[in-house]
Amino acid sequence: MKLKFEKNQVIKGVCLTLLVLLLMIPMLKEHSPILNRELNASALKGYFEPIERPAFSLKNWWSGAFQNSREEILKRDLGIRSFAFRVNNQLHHAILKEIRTNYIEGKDGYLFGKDYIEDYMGFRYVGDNNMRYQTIQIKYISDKLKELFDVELIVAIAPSKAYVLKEKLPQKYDLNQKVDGNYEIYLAELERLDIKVLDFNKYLTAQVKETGEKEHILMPKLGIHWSEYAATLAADSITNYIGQLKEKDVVRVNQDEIVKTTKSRNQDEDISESMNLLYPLASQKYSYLENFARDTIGKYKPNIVLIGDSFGWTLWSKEIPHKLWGEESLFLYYYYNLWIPNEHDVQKTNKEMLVTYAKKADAIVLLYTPMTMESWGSGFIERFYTMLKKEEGFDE
Amino acid sequence: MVFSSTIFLYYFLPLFLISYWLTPTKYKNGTALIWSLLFYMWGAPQFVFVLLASVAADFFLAKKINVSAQPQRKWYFLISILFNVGLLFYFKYANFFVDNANVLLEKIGMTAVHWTKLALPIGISFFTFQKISYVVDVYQNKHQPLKKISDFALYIMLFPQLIAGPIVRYGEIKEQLEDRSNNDDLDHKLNGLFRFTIGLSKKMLIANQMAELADSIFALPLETLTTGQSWLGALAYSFQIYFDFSGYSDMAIGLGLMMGFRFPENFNAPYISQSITEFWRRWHITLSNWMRDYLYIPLGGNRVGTFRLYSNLCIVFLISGFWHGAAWTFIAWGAFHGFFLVLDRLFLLQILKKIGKPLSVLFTFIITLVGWVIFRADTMPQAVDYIFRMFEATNINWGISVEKGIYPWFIEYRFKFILMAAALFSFFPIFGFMEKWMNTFLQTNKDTQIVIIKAIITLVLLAICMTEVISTGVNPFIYYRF
Repeated sequence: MKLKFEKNQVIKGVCLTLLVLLLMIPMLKEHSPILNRELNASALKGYFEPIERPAFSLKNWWSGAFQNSREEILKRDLGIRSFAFRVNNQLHHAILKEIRTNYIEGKDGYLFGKDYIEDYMGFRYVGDNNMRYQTIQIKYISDKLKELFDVELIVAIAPSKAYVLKEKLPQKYDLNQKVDGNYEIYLAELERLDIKVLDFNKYLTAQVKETGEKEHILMPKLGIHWSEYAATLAADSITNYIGQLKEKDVVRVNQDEIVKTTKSRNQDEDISESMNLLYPLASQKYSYLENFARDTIGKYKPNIVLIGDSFGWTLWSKEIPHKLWGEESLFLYYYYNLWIPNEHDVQKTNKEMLVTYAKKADAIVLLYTPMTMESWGSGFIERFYTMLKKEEGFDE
Repeated sequence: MVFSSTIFLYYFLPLFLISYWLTPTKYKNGTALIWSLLFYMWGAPQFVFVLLASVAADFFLAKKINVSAQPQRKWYFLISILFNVGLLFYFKYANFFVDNANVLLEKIGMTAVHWTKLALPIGISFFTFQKISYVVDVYQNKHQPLKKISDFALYIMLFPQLIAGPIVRYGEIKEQLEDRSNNDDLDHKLNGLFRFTIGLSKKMLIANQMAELADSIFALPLETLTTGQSWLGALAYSFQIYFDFSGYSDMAIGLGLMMGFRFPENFNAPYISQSITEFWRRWHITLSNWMRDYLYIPLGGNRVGTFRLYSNLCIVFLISGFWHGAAWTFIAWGAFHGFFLVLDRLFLLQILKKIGKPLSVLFTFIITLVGWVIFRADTMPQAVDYIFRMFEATNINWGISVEKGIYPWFIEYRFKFILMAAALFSFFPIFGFMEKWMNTFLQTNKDTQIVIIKAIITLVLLAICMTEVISTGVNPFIYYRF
């Protein structure tokens, strides 16, 4: 009897010690290199507001400012932060089916950006007048660039997952409420004005419908952008189209070396990565084109000024401008940050430099997805229109 | 310092527990007092001197009451009561009275009084009531005053219950303040940690989620609020406040147990009440008991005529409502409950008895929901409009999304899940055997298996709450602002 009592006491003591130790983990972890290793989780993805370390002063303490910032600092510096964050996100996703970002889970585990769905439904409509005016300006820029410098202006529409995979949209959306949005109206105007358009949104929607992505993933389940594979083929289409317009034999993408893997590259799983889960969601089998720019000898590499949204990053990361396009190519991310293939650092948009590049280019490509068409051109259209209109050329 | 903050859970609490448990019995009160002071100085340093001065004043006044003869005794008593009530009025209600007076003055064309808004010393409503209970008990010769000022300071400032109760009356804790060696064992510590974790989980896993749902609905424009949404909002808030406040009480009781104190229970499954009278025996029990002993009974209690009895009930509930906050909504909430208590005495209890347990529980719960709308609303017009929406029945869709293109009945899965869990935990004690089983489970540690099960539950819940605390911002408890 006494032995049983003592055993019970020992168990209670052990339990209590373990539980208090659990409460002490964050504190111990801060001061112990052993625990530091065991609980490490990969760093969190995404942007976190920087917090300034609070300086102790009587005034700060009296007002409570020191205590508040101390709490935030503790949370940030807590040794187990990324681990705890990931476990918490995992629990919320597994039990409450919640994604703690601006993303949303659709049918069969397909992830979507909420803003892409709103755009698909037609709720981000920028207005008829605005769109008509912009397309007229594009037409003017296109004609003038051709006339003055023999530069082509091409509108490329990157695919929106909400359009391409609309049958996978979350159940909560009533698709009967969909109305025409920016994409439909812009497209009609572009066609009416006979502006050169490469509509990858339409093309990929048809492809996915036809093939069901059985062979190659075009719009990844866990990403917001097109797959690297789809983007590479789109880049080939852009290059080829420019080649036809310029009547040049351009470098084409070799499609005979394809690696199939569940290990994602580039932006193929960008949404799931931003979810900061402990155990990543199951990947699809992606196709990656290897050694795709082999036959370059004797071929022409067009100089392309690419102005676009984040869909341009897939091309940049795959080194399309570096391998398929000429040395005078550049990528203008939202017409703000300027990337040149041979230079490593980003530069701010420089008007003189841009004008020089634009004059020498074979084509200027505006690559925007329907969702970002609300800020189409990000200022390029208005600026070039004004410059061309004012001086009937670039020389202000 | 909020119990669900990083600094409290992972620094203050473990360091306090270790130092307190390692301190020899003789010095435990001193250790607890120092940590309690640190706790208050971290959270509300600007009011620590107000608190300390008022503690010192009441300690000496109670000593004077104890040794003086009438009429001085009565004078000391009145000074102490006026001092405590005056402090409460000054800090908690002055803004309210000045604001209302200014509205009146402006209406009759006079200039408004210039007034700098006062900040509310955290926990003042709770520690004022505890001090009053001490002085009254000493005045009525129910208990002798404490010998040491440090023991009295500990009674008032004991950090687990300093901010939001339970309101521990002096008589309930007097002996424990002097000697609690009987409670200094592993069972109390383990049960305390288990209880604390249950409270933390109630707050982090249910109340905070329900707060998100309730806040989103109460923020909707009243013109577009549907009947379905209004009921959903009321339901979410009723679960939020219950799990928030009972969670805090569980944490306080648990912390007390770890220190060897046994604080009174504050909740007993209030949503299974079969009348509003019963509700007040199950909700914020320590406040109800305090009001009964220090206000209702001195007013005459049940031993008065019918009219006086009903007036007393109304007075008690008006004061109880006003105690919660300096706003008309709280006064109306108190009056609303007082009204139903009077109705109970007149005829309602008879009817509720006849209609049977499930229907009377449902009826009482609906009354409580309506009451919570008044409590939660920012203004009286908002409360009235909201309640109209609840009973309008023109549009019963309950979907809460204000985004276009979403099915009107859609509610996110997580809200449905937590709502169901909250309802389950709130109503399952309706089956008496469950309540009995839970109480046995909570208090017994004889069986090794029970100890291990409890430790595993504590471990899992503590770990989950740890991830929740680290991943989210600090959400103070609702009753912190009272």
